[in-house]
Amino acid sequence: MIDYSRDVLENGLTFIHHYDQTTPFVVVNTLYKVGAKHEDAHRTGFAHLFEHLMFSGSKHFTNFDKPLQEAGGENNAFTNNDYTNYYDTVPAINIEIPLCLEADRMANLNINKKSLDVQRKVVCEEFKENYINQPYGNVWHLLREMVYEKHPYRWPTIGKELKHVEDATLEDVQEFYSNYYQPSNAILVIAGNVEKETAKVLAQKYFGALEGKPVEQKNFDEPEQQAAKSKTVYEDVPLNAVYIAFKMCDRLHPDYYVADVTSDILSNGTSSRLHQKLVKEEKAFVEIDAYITSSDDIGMFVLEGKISADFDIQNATDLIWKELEKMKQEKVSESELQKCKNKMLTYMNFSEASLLNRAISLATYEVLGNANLINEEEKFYDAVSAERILEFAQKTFTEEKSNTLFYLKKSKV
Amino acid sequence: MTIPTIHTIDKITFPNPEAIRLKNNIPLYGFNGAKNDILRIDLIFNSGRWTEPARMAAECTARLLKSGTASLTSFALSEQIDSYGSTLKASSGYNTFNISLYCMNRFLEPSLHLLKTCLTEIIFPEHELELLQKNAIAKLKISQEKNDYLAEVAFKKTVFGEAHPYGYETTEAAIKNITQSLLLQFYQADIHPTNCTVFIAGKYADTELNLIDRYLGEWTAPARLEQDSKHVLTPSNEEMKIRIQKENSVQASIVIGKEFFNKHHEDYASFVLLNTIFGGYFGSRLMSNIREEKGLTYGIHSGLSTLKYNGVFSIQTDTNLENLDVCLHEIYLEMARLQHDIIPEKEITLARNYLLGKFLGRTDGPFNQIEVFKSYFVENLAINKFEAFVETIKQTDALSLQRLAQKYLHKESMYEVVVG
Repeated sequence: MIDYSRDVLENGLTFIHHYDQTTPFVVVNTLYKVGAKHEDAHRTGFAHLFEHLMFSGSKHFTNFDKPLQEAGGENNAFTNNDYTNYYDTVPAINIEIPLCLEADRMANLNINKKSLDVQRKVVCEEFKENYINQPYGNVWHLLREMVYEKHPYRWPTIGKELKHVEDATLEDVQEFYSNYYQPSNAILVIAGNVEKETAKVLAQKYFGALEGKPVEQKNFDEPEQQAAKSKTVYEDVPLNAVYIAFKMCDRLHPDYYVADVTSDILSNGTSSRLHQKLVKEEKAFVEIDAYITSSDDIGMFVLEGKISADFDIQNATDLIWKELEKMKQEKVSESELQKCKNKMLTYMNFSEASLLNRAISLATYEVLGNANLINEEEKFYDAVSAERILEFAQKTFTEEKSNTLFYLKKSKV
Repeated sequence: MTIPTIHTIDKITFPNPEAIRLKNNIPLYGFNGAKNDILRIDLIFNSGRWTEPARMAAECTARLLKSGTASLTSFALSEQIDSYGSTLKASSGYNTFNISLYCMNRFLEPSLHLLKTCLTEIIFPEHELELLQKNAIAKLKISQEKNDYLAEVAFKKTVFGEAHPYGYETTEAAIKNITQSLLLQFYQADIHPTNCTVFIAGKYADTELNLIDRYLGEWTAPARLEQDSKHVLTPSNEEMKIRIQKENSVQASIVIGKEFFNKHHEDYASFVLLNTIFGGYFGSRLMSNIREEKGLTYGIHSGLSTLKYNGVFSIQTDTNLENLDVCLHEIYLEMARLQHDIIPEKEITLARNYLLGKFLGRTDGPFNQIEVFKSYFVENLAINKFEAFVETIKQTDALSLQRLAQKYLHKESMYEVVVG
């Protein structure tokens, strides 16, 4: 059980506090409800580029990192399709340092040409390092575009193409900041060794006076898929790979937990079905995985495998389908289900040991509208039954709703 | 608005672990105090690449930890471990072989039972080994497509020598060469109660300690043949600069560095501070200049990794091919600056405070504590050195940092590997 309290300041900022007196640290986690899905289709990668610019200093502090490091702290940030999250860890004695820095960049970011020029280049290097100069690096570009027809999940957070990042202008940056970086569009979590009353006073002191405007919350549609899709690409890779993706429910749907457990039945641990059948028995795959993307809106259920060098691509793919058919025809046994639940519970227990994990979880659950999911999820996982897995498999794993990407090795001429 | 007063961390204490001996004399060190009822148990053996009978033997043994016994198939073993939600895995290091168990306390007993089974009954079935070899070779080919992987391999080979356990390269031939009898030979010699130390972290009481003693404390094995492994460094005498061409690269991976000392050296703690300033954190000179000022890379880091008998110092980054020369030039320029110019007091304070925060973090809770304690143990270093290092970092001044740079950061002493 994780104790926390939740308030909304007058300017609309959501404030969550979690007390842990066993640690010498506090975490200040600031989440903005803006991610790659809020971008214009012709200017993608922007939310992530903007994350880099948030470290350019603000009106009262020329540098964001230095005071924090001088306070014995560390900080970083990440952007995904749904939100952008900034986190600072400092010794509890220095709690005011991250608070004043975060508040000032929420209201008075120093947007300038020099840092835009530099960070555009940095992000282009990041793009090349992780998505171009890597075997299978562009898989998510291909897969997202195939699976989503309308939803802005069609592009990855790094951006659809390098050019979008290169073309970003100072006006775009200014507009984005003013549209999304508002107190009412943010969630502030203070977690660690600071008592509730103190944390509340400090949150009010630094953030209470910030002015803001309301941010319109957008909803995105995505049509139901009617026919199977397939794509084949040839790249310079050592092994053929296949990816099969299905659209699934959003993060708040009760089926989310069913989907998660289903993916574990298929591939979590060496005793899982896909590993046993396809890697060990059939030797069709060198490695294989099934997982869900935990996105806030319509998610993806993905199966991916690297095919053994001497194994036929179509046969290997058929073997995946055979396992999916089995999920649709037979209920999983109680012991197999309990195994996955136990693994999930162990994972959650170990993950909770980290203060930073707890702080980030509170913020990301709050984005969904319910910070208390941090305490409720265990119950939801426990409620997953063999019947619900069967139903989920039957409605999800159908040929006409499948998206198959064959990522094959170029034959050397 | 001005910045509130920054308080310096004044005292960092590292707690002593609970230290006991199991019935069979295996030492156990424990850090207690987790909130949830969970335990992580690590068994560390003096072993790894250092003592293996053939290249890759330790690594293959680790991957076949759950490969099966005379009565249990690999599937049955994995299925049982998974059914308790526990994780049991092994890894091989340069001087150690490690087996770790993560579990909820309510499943501690059956999990320990399975751990003990793996310790005493594994037979490394032929067909499991064959499959591992096939898949390990396939995965190796994927790694070999990555410039940073190739750069790291070439660097280690050059610094430590191709024949040295720290330096040898994973090859298809070495993987193919492994046989069942090699693995059994390695396991019987090294995975032995007289060669084992146990580390636990999480939440425990007598019940848990008694269970551990029942399963691991009653572990016996035939007398162990001590083997004395010695390896001599054979760094490459040839060209200090290695350039590997890789078709279709848009970026080059760079590794620059050399063989270095480990935590036993008198300059260790001060050098950690110097490295922090040079390339050890986001505010470092390399990051500020090459990323934040010039935008030449997504990230650049320098670091000292210490091993049982040596250490290695290296700088690593990836950059656009057309910026390669500028990037290399700037790296060497930053080295030279540290030798020629006194570091401003403000910059030292910043790095020092950051580092003290890092050290404080390593004392935070049993799971951080066990990591530090294990790393000191593996390097034969008393844990009270932790606080001594903190003191040294507090006292190291600008002049001594400059002297360190003059002693250790010569361009001429560094190997340079570029892949791309």
